[in-house]
Amino acid sequence: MELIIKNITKKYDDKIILDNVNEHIQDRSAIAIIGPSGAGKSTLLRLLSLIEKPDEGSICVNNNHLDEVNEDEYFKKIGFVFQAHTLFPHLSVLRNITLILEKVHNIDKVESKRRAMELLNKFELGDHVHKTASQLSGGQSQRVSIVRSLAIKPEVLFLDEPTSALDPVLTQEVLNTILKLREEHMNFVIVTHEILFAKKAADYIIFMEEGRIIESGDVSILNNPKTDELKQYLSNVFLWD
Amino acid sequence: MKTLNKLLNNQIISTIAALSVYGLLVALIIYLYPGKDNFQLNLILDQSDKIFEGWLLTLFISVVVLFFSIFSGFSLYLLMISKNLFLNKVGSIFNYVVFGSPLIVFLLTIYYFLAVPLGFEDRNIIGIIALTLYIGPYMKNVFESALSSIDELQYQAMKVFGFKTWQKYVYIIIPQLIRILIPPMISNLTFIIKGSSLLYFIGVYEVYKQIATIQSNTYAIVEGYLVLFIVYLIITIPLIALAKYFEKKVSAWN
Repeated sequence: MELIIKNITKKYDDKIILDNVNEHIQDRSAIAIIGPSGAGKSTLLRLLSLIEKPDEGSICVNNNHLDEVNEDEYFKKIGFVFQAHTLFPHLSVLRNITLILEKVHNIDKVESKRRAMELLNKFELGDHVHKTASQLSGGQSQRVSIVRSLAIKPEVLFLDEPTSALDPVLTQEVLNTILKLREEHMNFVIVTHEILFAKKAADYIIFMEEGRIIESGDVSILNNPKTDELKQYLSNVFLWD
Repeated sequence: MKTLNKLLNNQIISTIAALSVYGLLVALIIYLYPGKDNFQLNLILDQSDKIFEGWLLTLFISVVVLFFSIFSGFSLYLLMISKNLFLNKVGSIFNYVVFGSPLIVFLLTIYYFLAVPLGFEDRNIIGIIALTLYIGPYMKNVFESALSSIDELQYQAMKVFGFKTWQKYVYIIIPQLIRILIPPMISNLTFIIKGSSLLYFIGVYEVYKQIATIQSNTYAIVEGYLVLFIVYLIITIPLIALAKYFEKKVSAWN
């Protein structure tokens, strides 16, 4: 995928969240955004997915110029997985997926169901199709959320700390699902605190601190950080190693 | 002692035991009641057709009020969330007035200060209007809590999946709202039914008024109140149970 981020600034009230951010990424399929809390990672992801708009600057995702693109058309091309699952609680797992395919993407019932079932089986959720979110574990719900986003065959999947609401065991369950995406060459951008996971799943790393990109590049920067900030961050993360 | 505890923890046995305690209490009251030799329930029950007529009117008025208060409540909700400060104040003052006044006072005020001067004559309609206005703020609270129970993340998800505004309402928001709204709606209906007894004071021939008329014709005062008590419980207890049942269902689904 290609990401071009030019002079992006974003403020909430008067607080600067993103401060003149620039980045140009080409031919990468798995990008991980890492950094301490409050660095602006999630905000950047929300700007990339057009959930929010920047105060200044421009963004281009795979030839979609976000300040010109039709919002609804763009949303049809991307997937977004939130920090907590967002399954609609009144619908079954299956209906959560087929509703979007049928109503937003105008895919007929039979094909919607076929596609949903295929994905659910692939991600070992086939036993849960008729359950609602309240009958699933947190990890299962989040995996269904991921499958739901995959079902629309997005150009890019954005994942915003998808394991932050889960315990370590469930976290592994979800991370394994995301690793599977990597094997299938799905384009994704993930905000994560799981550095070991980022090492394994990503081919490009963006490290942020206080609203700026401090260091970015091939995943190998996690082994050979150039900036003091990233060195410091990694040494804090791996304090117990 | 242990076996007794176990027995009392059984649903059916504990219900029967609790009911017997109340039964004993009633028996005691009857035993001690000074006018028990004169107690003639049939004086009231002989006119059960009248009572039934009043009972139907009570139900009819209550259901109509429930229906209209959905609109009065929702309008009030819209006023309260409006960004227009004037509309906001209009709603909020009404809220204060209703929550601050007893239903009986509110009813009589509407009757004497609005209906009479404006020349409204149909007491049933006046009663319905007054109750609808009074229930409005309670309904507004119901809408408020129902809408806030659909969390912000769901709205963001709807947006990012590309649902059109009407689709959000038709497929996601309204189906959830209906389920969340059923239990408090039933509770409000119970509240309206109980409140409608006060329409007696503006001369609506609902069940209380009917029984009161029979009482004054037959002098069977105590008997009349006993029947009135039971007649209300016959409708309200099943409604309360129904609301509880739906509440359980909704919480299981959340």
